[in-house]
Amino acid sequence: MPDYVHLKGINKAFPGVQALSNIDFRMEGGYVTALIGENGAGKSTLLKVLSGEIRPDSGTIDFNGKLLSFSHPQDAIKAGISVIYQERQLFPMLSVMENIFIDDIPVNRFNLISRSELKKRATKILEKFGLDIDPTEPVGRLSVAHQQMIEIMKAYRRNSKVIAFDEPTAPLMDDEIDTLFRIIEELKAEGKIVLYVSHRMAEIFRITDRLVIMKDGKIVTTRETASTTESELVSLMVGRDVGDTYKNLSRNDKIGEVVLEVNGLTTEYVRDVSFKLHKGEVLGFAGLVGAGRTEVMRAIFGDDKIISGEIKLEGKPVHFQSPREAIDAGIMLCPEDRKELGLVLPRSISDNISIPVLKKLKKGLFMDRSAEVKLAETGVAKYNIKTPTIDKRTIELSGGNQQKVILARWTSDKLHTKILILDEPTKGIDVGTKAEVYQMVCDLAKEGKGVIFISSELTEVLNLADRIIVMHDGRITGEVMREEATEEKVLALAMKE
Amino acid sequence: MKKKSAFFSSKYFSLVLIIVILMAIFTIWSKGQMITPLNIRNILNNLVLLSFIGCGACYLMLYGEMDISAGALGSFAGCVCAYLAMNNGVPSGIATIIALIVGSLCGLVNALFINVLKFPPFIATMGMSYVLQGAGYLIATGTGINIRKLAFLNFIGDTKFFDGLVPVSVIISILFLVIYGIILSKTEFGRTIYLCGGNRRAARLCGLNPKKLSYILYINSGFLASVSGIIYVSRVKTALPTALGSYQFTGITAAVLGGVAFGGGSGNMVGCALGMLILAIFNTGVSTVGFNANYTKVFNGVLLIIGLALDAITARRNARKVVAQSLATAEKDRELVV
Amino acid sequence: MNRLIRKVTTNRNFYLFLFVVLIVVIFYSIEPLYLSSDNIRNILYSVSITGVLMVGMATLLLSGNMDLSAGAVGCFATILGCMMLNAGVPWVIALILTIGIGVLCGLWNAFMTYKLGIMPFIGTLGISYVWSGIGAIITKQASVTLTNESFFMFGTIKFGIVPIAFLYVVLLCIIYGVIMNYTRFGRRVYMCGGNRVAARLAGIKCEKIGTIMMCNCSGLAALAGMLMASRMHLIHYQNLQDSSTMGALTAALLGGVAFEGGNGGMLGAFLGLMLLNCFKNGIDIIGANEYVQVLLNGVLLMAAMAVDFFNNLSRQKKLKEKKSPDSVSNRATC
Repeated sequence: MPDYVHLKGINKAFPGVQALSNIDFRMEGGYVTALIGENGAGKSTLLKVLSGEIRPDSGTIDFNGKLLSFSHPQDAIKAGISVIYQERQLFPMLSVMENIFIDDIPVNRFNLISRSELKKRATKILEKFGLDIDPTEPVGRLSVAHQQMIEIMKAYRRNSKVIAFDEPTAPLMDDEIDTLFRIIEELKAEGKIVLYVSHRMAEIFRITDRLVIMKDGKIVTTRETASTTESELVSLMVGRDVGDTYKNLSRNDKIGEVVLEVNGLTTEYVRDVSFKLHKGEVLGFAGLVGAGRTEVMRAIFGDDKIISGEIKLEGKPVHFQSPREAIDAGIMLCPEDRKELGLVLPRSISDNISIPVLKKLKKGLFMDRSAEVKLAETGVAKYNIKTPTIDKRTIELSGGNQQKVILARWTSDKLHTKILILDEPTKGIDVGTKAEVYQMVCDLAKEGKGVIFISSELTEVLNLADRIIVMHDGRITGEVMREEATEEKVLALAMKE
Repeated sequence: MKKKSAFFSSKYFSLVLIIVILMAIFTIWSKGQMITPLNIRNILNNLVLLSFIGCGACYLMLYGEMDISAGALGSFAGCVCAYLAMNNGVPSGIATIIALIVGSLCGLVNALFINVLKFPPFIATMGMSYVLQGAGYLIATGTGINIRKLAFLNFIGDTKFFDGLVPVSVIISILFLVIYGIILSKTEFGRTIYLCGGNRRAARLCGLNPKKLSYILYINSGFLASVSGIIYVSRVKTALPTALGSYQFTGITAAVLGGVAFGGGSGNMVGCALGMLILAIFNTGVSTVGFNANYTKVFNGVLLIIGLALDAITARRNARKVVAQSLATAEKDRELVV
Repeated sequence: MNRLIRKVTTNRNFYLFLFVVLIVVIFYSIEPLYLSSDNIRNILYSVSITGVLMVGMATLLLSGNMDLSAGAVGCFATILGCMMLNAGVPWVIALILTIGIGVLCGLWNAFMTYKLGIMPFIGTLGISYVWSGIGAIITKQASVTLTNESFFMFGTIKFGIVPIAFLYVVLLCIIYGVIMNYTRFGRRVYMCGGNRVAARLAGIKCEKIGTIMMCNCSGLAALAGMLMASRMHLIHYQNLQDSSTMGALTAALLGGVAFEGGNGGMLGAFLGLMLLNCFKNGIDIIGANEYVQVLLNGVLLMAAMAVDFFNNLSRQKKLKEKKSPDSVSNRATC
C-alpha cells in the first residue's frame, strides 16, 4: 500500500480574494505529481498550507488515513512533510553534515556532538545520492545547486514521506538539473510522495507522472503526464470570463514613431533583450514570475548595471547611471513592490506624490505649499483616492489606495513624461479601481506617451496592450499583436524554453 | 479661539508643560536658587552647547542614523583651534575657521567609512570618537590648552549684548536653530531628509540621491559639533579632548524627547529645541539641587533609554494599527497571498 | 597529506597565528625587553582581564547580538562585590553573588532589546552610562580597597611567568569553544546568528537564546572585574569602562567573529586577543605615550571592522557563485 496525501475541500480566503476553493486531489508515493497553473492560480498558497505556514479555513489533509492540522511549520516537518523553497533555509556557517542533521544532531553519552558519527551518517546519505560533497565543508561555500541538494538531503534524512519542490530548477545549470532529476528518481523509487511545482514545460514532461492543473484557486482537472500534450495543458490553464471590464475602454488608435529602442540588452539577470516602443502605444510585457521583465525595466531606468547592449530614446543613445537621469529624460518607472520600493510609508500622500518634482514646486528658496497642495489634490481627485485629507500618512492607506498614490505621482503634469513603465500596477486592487487604471493607461497612450505595462495576469495584458512581448528565463521568447493574441499563445510562449 | 485650542492639542503642548513642571519642581526644591540670573545663564550655556550637536543629531536621526563621534569631534575641533591660536600664533579668527574645516573633514571621513567601506554607522562613528579623542590628547595633553588674550575667541565667549544679559553664543545658537529649523521644514533639502530617511530605496527610485545626502549630513554633523567645541573653549578658556564628553547622547535624547522619530517619520526642529530645553533645564536643575555630575550621567542615561523606548513603542503601535486597518478593509490585497 | 596542507592554509586561524608570531618578532627586534619575563607576565595579565570580557562578547556576537555595557557592568558589579568582601562575606559566595548581579544586568539588556524594542547598540551604550554613574556615586569617586585578603589568591597565583588569570582565560575559551562547537545549544546559537529566519522556521527561540547569551556576557564581565580587583586589591569606578569593552570587541572582530553573527570561533577570538594585546604592549614598550593608546583603540577598532568587512566580501563572493537570469528577483505569486 503506497503512502498517500489526500487534500479534501481545502479553502483559504484572504481579505477580498478567495485564494483556494475546494481543493481536492490526491498524491501517491512512488509518483511525481506536478502542480501547474499560471500566476495567481494558488500554487504557492497551497504549498504553504501543506508546509504548515498557512492554516486553511476549512478542509482536511489526510495523510495515510490520519487527519493532520498544523499550527507551525515545525508540525508539518514532524509529520513528515518537507517543502523545498527557492529561498535557502540553510545556515551558511554550519557544515554540510550539521545542516543535514539540523533537527537531530547525534550526541555521545556526554551530550556532546559526536562529529565522527555525524560525518559517518552524512556521508552515507551523500553517497546514496551520488553527491561528491565534503560533509565538513561550511554550507555557505557550496554552489547554489549543491545547497539545494543539501536541502533535499535534509528532507530525506528526516524520513519525510512527502517532499515538495517549488521551482527547483530556477537557479540551476543543465548538468545540475540532471543531478536533481536523478535524485528525484531515487526518491520516487523509495516510495516518497513528490510534489513538483514548476512553469517549465520541458521539465514537467520529463520528470513528472501526474499533473494537477490549477486556475484561479480551483483545481481544473488532473491528467497523466504521458497522456497529454503541452498545448492541451496550456488551454486548460487559461480561459476565463472577463466580463465587461474591457468592453468600455476607449483606446488610442494613433500609434506614432519609435520612442524607445532597446538592442541586445544584457544584464546580470537578462540576456539579449531587444524591442521597440512607439509613441501612443501600450506595450504589454507578459511572462511568468521570474521571467526577468522587472529586471529589463530596472536596467533601462538606471537602477541596474548594463553589461552590454544599447538603449535609444527618441533615436539618441542613452545610458542612465541613476533613476534621476532617467526621470529627467522622461522615463518613469512605477515599481512592483509598493511598500518596499514605491512609497515612503511614514510620509503623507502629498509628500509621496511630489517626490520626483520637488524642484518644480518651489517658490524661491522654499517649497511652495499651495503648489504642492494643488498637485496632490489633482492626483487624489483623478484617481479617486479615498482619503479625508492629502496629509494622511500613506502607511494608513489600503493597498489599492497606496497603488493609486504611486500612479498619481508618476502621472502628474509636472513631469515631462515620454515613457511610463508600469510594473504590475493593478496588484492588490479591486475590480472597479482596475477599470479606472486601465482607462488611465489608454488615456496616457492617447496623449502620445509610450506605455509599458508589465503584468502577470494574462487577461489584463491581452485586453489592454496593443502588442505583447513575452519573456521567459531572462530572454524574450516571442511577440504577439493584440489581434492575434490568445491566452494559449501567450502562455505557451511564457513557458517556452 | 481656534489658535488656542490648536496649541493645546498639539504635541508641543505636552513638551511645554514638562518644561513648566520641571522649572517649578526644581525651583521649589532648590529654594529659589533655580531662577537666579546666574542659574538662568547656566541653563542657557548648557542649551547653547547642546543646540548645535542637537541640530546635527536631529538631521541624522531623521535620516535613520546617528553620529556617536560628535562629542569627541567637537572637543577635538576646540583643541585644534586652541592649539593653532596659542601654540602656533595663528590669529584666533583664522584658527576658528581652520578648526571648523577640520571638523567638517572629520565628518567627511565618517561618511567615507560608512558609504564606501560600508561600516555600520555606529561602529564607524564610535571608532572615530576614540581616534579623535586620542588625537585631541596628542595635541592638548591631558591638562588641556589654556587660552588667554585671544580677540576673536574672547569675543565669542565673553561679549554680552543688552547689558550683560544675552551672550553672543546664545544669539548664534538661536540663529542656527532657526535657520536649521527653516531648512528642515520649508526647503527641498529638508524634505529630502525626511524622504530618504523614510525609505532610502524608494527615494532613489524617485530621483533623489540618498548617498549624497549621507555625505552632507555627516559633514554637517562634524561642522556643528566643531561649533560647539569652539564655543566651549571660548567660554571655559580651556581646550580639553574630553570637553564635550557624551553630548552626542544628550543631543539624541533631546531629539527623541522632542518627537523626532528615528527614520524620517516625523519630528521637526521646534520639538527638538523644546527637547533640548528640557534637557538643559533638567541637567542644570539636577546640579543646582546638589547632585554631582555622576548623578547627571545616570539620569541622562535613563532619559535616553526612556526616550528610545517611547520611540520604539510608538513605532510598533503604528505598525500594528496599519495591519489592523488593512485587514479590515474589503479590498483585494494580493500581497497576502505571497 | 595534501588535503591537510590545504585545510591548514585555508584556515583563517593559521594566518592569525602567523600574524601574532610576526608581531612578537618585530617588537622583539626593536626592543629585546619585549620578551623579558616581566613583560611576558604583563602581556599575559592584560590578556586575562580583556580575555574574560571577550569570551562573553564573542559568544554574544555569535548569537547575533551585542552588548556595549559589558565593561560598565563589570565595574559596577565588582564594586558591589568588593563591598561584600570587605563586609566579611566569604569570597566564594561574594564571587557568585557578583556574577549574579552581572547576570541581572544582562537580563535588563534582554528586556530592553526584546520587550522595549530598543536597538541593542544604543540601548546598551545608554545603560552603560547608568551603571557607570551609579558606580561613581556609590564609591563617592574613590576606589574601594579590598581588605578581605582571602580573595587575593584568586587572581594572583603564578606558575612561573604564567599567572592563573591567564589560565582562566584559556580554560574559558576551551570550555566555551566546546559548548559552541560540540553541543546542540551552541549550534543553535550559531543558527540564530547566521540565519534568523531559518532558525525561527526551524522552531528555535532566538529570543531565549539571545537572553541567555546576554546574561552570560554580563556575568563574565562581572567575573572579569572581580579578577581585576583580586589582582590589584582594589576597584576604581573608572576601571573597566568603554575602552575595555572596545578592546574585547576589537579582539573578537580581529579573531574573525563576524559582526552580524553566525560566524567565527573561540580559537580565532583567542588569537585575536593575543594579537591585540601583543601589539598594544609592544607599542607601550617602545615608548609611545599614553595618549597614543587612546587613539590606537579607535584605529584598531576600525582596522578590525575592516578585517570583518573583507571577510564578509569573500563570504558573499562564495555565496554568489552561479547566477542565472530569473534567480531571486520576482518571488511573488506562483
